[in-house]
Amino acid sequence: MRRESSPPSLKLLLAEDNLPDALLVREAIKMEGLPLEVHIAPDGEYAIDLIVRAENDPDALCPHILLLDLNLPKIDGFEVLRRIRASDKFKSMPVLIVTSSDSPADRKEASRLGARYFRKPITFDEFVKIGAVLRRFLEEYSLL
Amino acid sequence: MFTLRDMPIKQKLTILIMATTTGALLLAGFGMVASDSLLFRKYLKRDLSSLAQMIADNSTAALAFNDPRAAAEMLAVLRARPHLVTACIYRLDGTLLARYSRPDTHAACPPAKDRDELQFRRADLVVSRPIMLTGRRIGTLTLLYELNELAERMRLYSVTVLVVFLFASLLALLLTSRLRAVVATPISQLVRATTSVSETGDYGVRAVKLSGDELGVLVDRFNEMLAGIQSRDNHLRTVLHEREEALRDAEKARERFRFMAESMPQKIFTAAPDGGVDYFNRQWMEFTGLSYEQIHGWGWTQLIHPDDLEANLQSWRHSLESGEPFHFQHRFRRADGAYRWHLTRAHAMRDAHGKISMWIGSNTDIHEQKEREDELRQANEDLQQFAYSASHDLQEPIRNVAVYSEIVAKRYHSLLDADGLQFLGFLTEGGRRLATLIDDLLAYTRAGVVGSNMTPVDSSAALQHAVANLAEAIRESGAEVTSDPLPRVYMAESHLQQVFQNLISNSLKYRKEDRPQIRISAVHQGASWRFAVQDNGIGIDPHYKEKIFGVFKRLHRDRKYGGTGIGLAICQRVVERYGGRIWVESSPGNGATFFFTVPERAPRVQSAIA
Repeated sequence: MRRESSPPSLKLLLAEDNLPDALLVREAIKMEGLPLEVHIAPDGEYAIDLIVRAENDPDALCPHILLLDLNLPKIDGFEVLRRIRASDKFKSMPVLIVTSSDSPADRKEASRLGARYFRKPITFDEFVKIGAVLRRFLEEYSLL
Repeated sequence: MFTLRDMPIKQKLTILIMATTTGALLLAGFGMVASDSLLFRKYLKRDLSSLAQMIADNSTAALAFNDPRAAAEMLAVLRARPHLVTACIYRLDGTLLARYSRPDTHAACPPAKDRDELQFRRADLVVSRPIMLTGRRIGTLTLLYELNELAERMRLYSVTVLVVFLFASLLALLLTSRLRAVVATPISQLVRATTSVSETGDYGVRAVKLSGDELGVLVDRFNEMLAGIQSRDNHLRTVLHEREEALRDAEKARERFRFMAESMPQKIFTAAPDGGVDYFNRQWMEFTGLSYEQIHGWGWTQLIHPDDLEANLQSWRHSLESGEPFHFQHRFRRADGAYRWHLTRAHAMRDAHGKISMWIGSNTDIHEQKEREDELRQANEDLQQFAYSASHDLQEPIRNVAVYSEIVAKRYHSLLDADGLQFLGFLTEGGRRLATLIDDLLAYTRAGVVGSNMTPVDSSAALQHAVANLAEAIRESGAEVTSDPLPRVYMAESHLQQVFQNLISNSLKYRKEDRPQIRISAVHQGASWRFAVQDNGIGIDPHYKEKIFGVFKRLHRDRKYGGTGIGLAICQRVVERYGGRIWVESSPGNGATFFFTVPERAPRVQSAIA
């Protein structure tokens, strides 16, 4: 897990196993100038551990928003999301699914679990638009 | 008793005429005799009265002088009247002065009366007349006149009347026998004709018309009636014949049907219009191990799997009410208790008036097929999932190549020469193209899956979603997309949306310099809806109108027209999966119209292979 050394007050958990994509998301946040502290979880198990710790330990990292890849090692993205929705503390946390999948079943399941959906584009310019999406999303939840 | 009413017309006429004639003759005879008798009596009265007066007047002197001889001579003139029996002259004191008697008789003198009197008795007439002298009565004259003249006269008359009567009756009888034929013969003819018709049943018989009177009219009407009956009889015979033929044909058809049904491997049944089954073939009994009595009517429902029963009955009742073919998959219990999947179909047979006369159905064991279908569906779903996963897994490295080659080209632009930048460009383009191809291949795979539990969707909504997805491209091209009212169709909305999206995208892509105009419409055609997406683009050479639906077939290598060339192949795959077809009508430079059809009714097969 890497920590960003910036003054932001909001913590973003990025569950993503593919480092190039994780870097692109960080790049987009930087380009959009969002006051977010990005914490990366490289697999599903890691992400769930982090959530469990946050539930039990007031001093542990407590993310405000989750960016979730579906195709995660060990425990897949939907399992992580279901675990979060079952938690008293995080059941209302804003979650944005960021995935390569275009499956209608995945979109439907994401919607059912109350998560937004962002399909990873294949051009740099399109990809970094996730920054703007994230900004609107945070504004919607009055986090900005 | 043989009364007048029941007599033949001929006799009746004879009796009527004879009775009338004789009655009239008798009455006339009686009248004549009676009238003559009366007249004769009157005449006799007057005659004798004047005779008595004349003799009384001539006897006055003889009486006055009391001269019997002269009185007798006076009376002797009465000899000329043969019917005068006796004549006497009395003196005033009642003594006889003179008397005359017809030589052959000795009848006594009738007594003198005080007054003038003329009295008819049974066989004679008595006249008493006073003899007057200067207004004073001096004696009396009495006459006795026998009436056998009257009787003779009556006899003569009676004989005459009788002879006339006999001759007249004879004549009447002769005339009657001649004239009654005028009335009786046409009636006899009519009777013969009716008897012939009733005995032989031959309505071709006609009565002969012998007169122009009411009987003639009656014969005409009777013949017309016979003609009418004959015509109806012929018609009835024809109808009866046809009906018999039809019954024979129906019986033959029934035998053929039974034979066919019994020799077929499938289970066959027939049902009445109310849905109660009235025939099962042998295969039914063998499969169920039950007798006809146990399953006929609605008894077969006990054999249907409880989970399938309600939907089955609902569908069967719907068919019974609407007359639509019944088509249902359900499980039937075999004799050993095992349930096996069957496909039951039934069609309504209608009579000449379009009314349902019966249902004919078959039950085909599709258990193995169903199991294979289920396995196939599972395999299909697994394959779909695999395709998604593969697509997802493939997208990631490709995206890394495409995006990062782009980043390198941007950030390290100054460190690379022209070749390096071009090669990086190849990497970016290749990566993007590969990613698009993977997406399209996935879409093509998805296009082959027809979902179950079909409900009709609003094609306007599908179009709206497609247009929304293309909003950016539409805005950039300034295109005008219009649509007529669109129907509800049995097609997954995602599929219909994809077809619209690909066709509109195609129109936007192959545009001319002018503002693109795209019009979407639908018409009902046979048992389908025919949709049309019409544009004013560059059009397609008819030579290629089949080729364009091939996978990865593109007519233009020009970069201006991007894409992988799979959009129309996806459209074709979707449309054909739903039992429709897709085609294009176009010529270069004149725009293109893509047509596709969607069957009006839900697809029969509930699953398909991708």
